[in-house]
Amino acid sequence: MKTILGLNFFHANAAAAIFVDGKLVAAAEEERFNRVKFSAGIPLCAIGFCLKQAGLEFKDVNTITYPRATNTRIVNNDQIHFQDRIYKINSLYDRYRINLKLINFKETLAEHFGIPVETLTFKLREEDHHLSHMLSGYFYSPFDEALIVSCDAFGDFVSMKTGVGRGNKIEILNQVEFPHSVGLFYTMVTQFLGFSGYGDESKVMGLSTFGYPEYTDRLRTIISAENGKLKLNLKYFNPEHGVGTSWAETTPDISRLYNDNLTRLMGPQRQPDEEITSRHQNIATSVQHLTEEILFSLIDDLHARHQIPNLVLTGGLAYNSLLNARIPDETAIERIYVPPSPGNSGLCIGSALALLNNQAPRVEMNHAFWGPEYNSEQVEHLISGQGIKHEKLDDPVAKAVELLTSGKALGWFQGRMEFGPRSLGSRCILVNPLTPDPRRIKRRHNLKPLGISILEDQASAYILGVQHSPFMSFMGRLRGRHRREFESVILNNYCRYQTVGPENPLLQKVLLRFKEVAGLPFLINTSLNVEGEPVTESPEVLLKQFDTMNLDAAILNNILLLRETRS
Amino acid sequence: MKNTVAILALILLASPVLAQDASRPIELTIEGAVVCADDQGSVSPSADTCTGSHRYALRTDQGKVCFFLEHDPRAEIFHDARVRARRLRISGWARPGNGIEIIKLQSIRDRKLYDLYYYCETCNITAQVGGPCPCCQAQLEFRETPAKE
Repeated sequence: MKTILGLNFFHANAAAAIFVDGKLVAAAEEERFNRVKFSAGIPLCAIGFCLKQAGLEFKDVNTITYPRATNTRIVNNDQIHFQDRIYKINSLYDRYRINLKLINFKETLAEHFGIPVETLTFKLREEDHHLSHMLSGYFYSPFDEALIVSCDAFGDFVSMKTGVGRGNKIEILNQVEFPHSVGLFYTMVTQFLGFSGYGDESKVMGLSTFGYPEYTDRLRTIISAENGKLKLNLKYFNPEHGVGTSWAETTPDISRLYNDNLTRLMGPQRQPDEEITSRHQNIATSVQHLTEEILFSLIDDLHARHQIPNLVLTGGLAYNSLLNARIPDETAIERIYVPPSPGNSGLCIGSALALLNNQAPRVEMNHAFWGPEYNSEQVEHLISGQGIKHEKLDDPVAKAVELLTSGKALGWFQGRMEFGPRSLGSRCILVNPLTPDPRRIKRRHNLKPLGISILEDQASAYILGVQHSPFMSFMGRLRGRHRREFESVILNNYCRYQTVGPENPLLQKVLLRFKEVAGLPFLINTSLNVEGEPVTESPEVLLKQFDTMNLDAAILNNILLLRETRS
Repeated sequence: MKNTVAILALILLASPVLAQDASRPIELTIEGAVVCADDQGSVSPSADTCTGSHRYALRTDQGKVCFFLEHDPRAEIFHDARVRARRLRISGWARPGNGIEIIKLQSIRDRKLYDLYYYCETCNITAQVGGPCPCCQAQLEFRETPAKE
């Protein structure tokens, strides 16, 4: 038996995945356990879960992989980019400090798990950041041949890598090296618009649906892509702070990327608490437009060279569900696949696949339920222990639909937790779309779209150019005659959607029953969490946050909790 | 105000700055009325009958038909009959097949420009497509106000 533990650590979204004899057995993000959003340390809890799920101990682990090229690239690149003065000296210090922690990695594990360090006999193996992204996407895609694009701010001093996947092999075609990066460009404008939190790019994506791309030509001064060569104009970047990323055990932090030259080009920046004006909307539309233009041109160029109609898109930029959705409309690509976790947490899977090389079976990943689960006895024991009134259900699906049709916001906690940021049927809040003001549930930010889950065979009647979207990777424009039914979830005629078919049997049952009763084949589906916090992993967290999430009811496996009888 | 597609395109192509950058799309400004037309440029009698093979387009004062892109989210606004009823000035990027991708859209009345948009007074949200306010869900109100400088 060969066991590989794949990790992502000291990047945002630390995570662990375990492979036994080439097969993925479990995967989870650390934030779900330690409750620190985008947690960036060593994923100790996620490692513990993976071993438990596989029924293994550390002595059974042959190799631990991680996506980080520690020695081969860092000296040259850090020197080069230090000379460019764009990579912050403190970040260099951080990086070397992390490398020191890697030296003590086994001691850290031994201490946390209470085992002698001599029993940790596994080998440590580093893998390339973007190759890991590419593998985590392509390997489980439905394609035997595909173009692959991995694009983010940067990782291992590369911001984008392209390749072609055929069978079990990936041929790397090209890469864009730091500091030139379409991801950094998007983040810089996101900060300029007053959104400085890690992951706030999604707010700018939402805002972009409201404006005109009037500022596109001005933004071309900052980024250009001529003859396939991407280039940032560093004049607009902050030479003093550079790109300072802090990857401590907490939520990651990125220092201010831009300088006063950007203000001279675009006018005053928006302060975080300042009202959003049409100018801000137009800047957001412009950054989204230019990012799409650059990516689409690169994708069309790849297509022209290789004549492959399939695309796997991965890396942090693939969270941009608006961009993803427009690729088949605006390029020669016919089919696109985005993995359930295209961002850094997916690197734990990709780095292990890089080591496995040809030894892992290539199968389409048609679900993302790789996390922990709790059986009904565990749930009941916990609830009874807290003296909470509850009811055991014979038919949880029927009860769920009854609650939903009567306008209740329902916490739906079933089976194994999703891997990746989207709630896809096991840790979600379901709401009838005809319920007034569903955003009250989590006090969700106006610019972040609520998602829907829709029966796959019904989706094209409601959404234009619908894609197979089991992982909620696409925003869709709505067909005019159905807009009223979507009013509570649309963002300027767009909504993010998950298509649900037989690969997601329980959620499919709920949707089929809901359609029978209410006549609509979709439900609002948003993640089971308090806005800004990680998704709920355990029944304990659900019980603790039941009120803050504004839930009316929750069904955990077959156990029903109601707000009015809970106490 | 009477710029034509051809003249603007010539001016833009003649510009030494833009001519250096082949990757930058050509920007043009056109004025006219919204029509429904098929791929051959044959125009339906009414803009309301924009179905089947017909798409929304702008017929310029010189009779040229410029098509809005099927996937341009900003072309959604033409579903509103109030917008279609107005004389419009549109700046955009030239696309193949007499296409235009909208950068900005304004109406013209008495030789003055007006911004067209949808607005929620409660939440102070401006949008380019009608429908419910993403904040309070009330219907956005259609507005036409003198263009800002």
